[in-house]
Amino acid sequence: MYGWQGKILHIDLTKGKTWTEEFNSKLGELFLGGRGINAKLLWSLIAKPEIDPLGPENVLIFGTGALTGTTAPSSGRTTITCKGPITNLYLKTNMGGHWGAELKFAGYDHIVLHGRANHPVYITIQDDNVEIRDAKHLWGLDVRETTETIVEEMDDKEAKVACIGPAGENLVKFAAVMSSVYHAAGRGGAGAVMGSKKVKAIAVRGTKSIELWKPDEFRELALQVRKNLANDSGAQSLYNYGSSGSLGFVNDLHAFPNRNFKYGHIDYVTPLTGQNLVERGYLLRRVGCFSCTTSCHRFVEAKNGPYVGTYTGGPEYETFAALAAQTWIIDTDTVIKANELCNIYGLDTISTGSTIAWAMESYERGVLTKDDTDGVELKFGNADSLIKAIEAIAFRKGKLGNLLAEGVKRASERVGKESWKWAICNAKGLEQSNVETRSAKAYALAFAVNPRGPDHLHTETFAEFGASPEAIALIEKLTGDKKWASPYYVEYRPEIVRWHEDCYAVTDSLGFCAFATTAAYAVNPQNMAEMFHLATGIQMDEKGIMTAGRRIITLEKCFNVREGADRKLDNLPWRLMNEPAASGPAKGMMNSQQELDGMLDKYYALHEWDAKTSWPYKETLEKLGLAEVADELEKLGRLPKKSHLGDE
Amino acid sequence: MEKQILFLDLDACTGCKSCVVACSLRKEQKLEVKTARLWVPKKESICLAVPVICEQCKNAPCQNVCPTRAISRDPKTNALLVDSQKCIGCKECVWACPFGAITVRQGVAIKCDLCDGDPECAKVCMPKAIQYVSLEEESFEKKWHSLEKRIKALATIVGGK
Repeated sequence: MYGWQGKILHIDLTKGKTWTEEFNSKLGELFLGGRGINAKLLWSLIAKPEIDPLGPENVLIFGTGALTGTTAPSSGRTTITCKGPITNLYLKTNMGGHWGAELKFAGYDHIVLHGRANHPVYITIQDDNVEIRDAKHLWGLDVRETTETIVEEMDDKEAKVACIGPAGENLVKFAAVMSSVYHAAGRGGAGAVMGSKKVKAIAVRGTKSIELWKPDEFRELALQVRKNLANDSGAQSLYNYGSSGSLGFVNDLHAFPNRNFKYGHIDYVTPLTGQNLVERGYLLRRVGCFSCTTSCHRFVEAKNGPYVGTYTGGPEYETFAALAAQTWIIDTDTVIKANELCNIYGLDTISTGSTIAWAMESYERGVLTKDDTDGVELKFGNADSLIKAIEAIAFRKGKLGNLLAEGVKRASERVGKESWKWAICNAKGLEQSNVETRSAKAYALAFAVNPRGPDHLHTETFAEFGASPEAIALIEKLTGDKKWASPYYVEYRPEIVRWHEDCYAVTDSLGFCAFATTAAYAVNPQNMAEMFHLATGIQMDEKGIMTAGRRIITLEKCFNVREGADRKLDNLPWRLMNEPAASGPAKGMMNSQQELDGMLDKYYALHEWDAKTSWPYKETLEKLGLAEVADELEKLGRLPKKSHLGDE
Repeated sequence: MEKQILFLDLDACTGCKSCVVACSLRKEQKLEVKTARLWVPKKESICLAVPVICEQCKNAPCQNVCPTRAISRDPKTNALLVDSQKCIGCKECVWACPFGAITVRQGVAIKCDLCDGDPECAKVCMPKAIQYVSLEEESFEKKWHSLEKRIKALATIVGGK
């Protein structure tokens, strides 16, 4: 087989059995790889709604991209898919690093974990040799210790480890799966699912080859795309300053959310910028994921105060926002420490920061008392309380740890007193990532319809800011006029979102990084289709690959429909829909229900989904080759009654 | 004019390993780490990686120890080339190389041949950690400094505890 290895490794933890399933290129043609094939596997393997995400019936699926392991730029990413423990809905989460490429060199495209082990285990894969080993000695270790211990045990310094930290073991709802030590599949709690299966780690070492259909032509094209990406202005900024290089620009727009989304601007934001990391000597190295030309990842060391000598990967834009701006601790060294703790305990920095910010606001309002926080002065700006809260969450220590480890939705339900009004999650329950959606309307729509909850990692519409010539050109291509390259318009947002979600699905399925396709734009649907064609031998063009993207998105939507989700879940956090932005050019803007409804109606219509329920029509599914999915939803009574054809 | 060399800059290396797969794709028409003519060991907990590749030594131990005189210098590029007809796969060169830049696959030694003056690894390396450049005699110090740094990094990565 060209491009893929054509193999899915199944591991039944309950029975202690492993087996390999081969797949043909038809599956690859329809669902591409990575996120796409993962979605197909999830739909088939969880055959019914309402299973417990932390029970043995859930599966945890790892998928490498169709082009992972090749010289295509920034193509080394891995998608993890399961039913998510925060939302009880579809969850895909994605990580960089080097683990995915290593898995592919070991001869597998996907791994599926079934069932639940009766004691802690870890899995080692050395090409065809797959073992389920006892992990008693690893349970309780942090991510760095776990990785180093396993690499030593395998006696191979090239072994790559994906693992959970104490947070995953303790079933913290937003625990991450970490790989290459500092690369997180952070969002949605895949780490808790791994912990519920009692799997500490999957270590991989591969020495096989990947064959390509037209190796020389692929090499030439990939080289050209690499050069284009290296010359893209967005990619250059990411290389120089990392993802937080754009933070100052966002702050200037008063769109940098802080203090639990009450404010959008920080007067002295410099300590939280990528420029500061470089200029003040925090940055030790720029780090590349497998085959990446951009190398936006950072390796940093704290330089001042009590945390001198702390070193870690990061911090990213989102980490600066979540752990510093939202908690109002505008200090580089403290963020580095907090980031290190999240990395080694295996916590999603976004949900961690959001949950702590919610707790800080609750404490200041008197809704949480000192008794609830085990004596911690949980106030905005108190750095010591941030560090204590992170440790409490990871180990579920005391009242505070057990409350916050559930995430903002459950915590606010438990505490009551209208604290859900400042819990920054939507009806699906996931903590929103740190984008000011009140003044970025395509983001608002994308966040509302994201099947896993409100964040930017399903559909990244950064182009609407028009921050680079490439972004403006893209908006002009999608809407016909570059004047729509402004985040304040609601016009054409559904069209912008739909293109980006198709593109993002292709990106994730081929293993590319979204930064290469939707922050920089040098990797695009046309050259992704060409590289896919030359790698696999399957005829593919831009239209065909975007249709595959649509198929994937629609199937993901259908997973949620099967779980009973409908239009009511496609909303945004209460604060953002009811309290206006505080200052700056966006002052007074909101995500009102009315404004959102206007965009949703158009968005569902573009998808040919029913506006009332948001469910796809039977014909829509059949057109995408998802007739079996339609049949199953019909049996459950979850197809919209009337066809859109001739409707109204 | 001085021949071009592969100049390696440790500080610029991000450890992405593009060069490794690019090498095997060019030389073997497939993606395969074990047949790449260079390797990039990495210690992930400190994000430190170092590219390791033939230095095309002036007085080359590999060439000196080869019992069948299978290793010769390409007059065009200065690269040390292995004649696969003469090579008997005895691995003397593998042991002799101070950098670990030669391996034996299927009974024949394989090593960097500078892609006949168009090295693929340098072409794919966007952060310019691997550059194919002319360095005049006076920059001997620069070359030496680069080598010294890389060897120290290599010791940190593969040296163990």
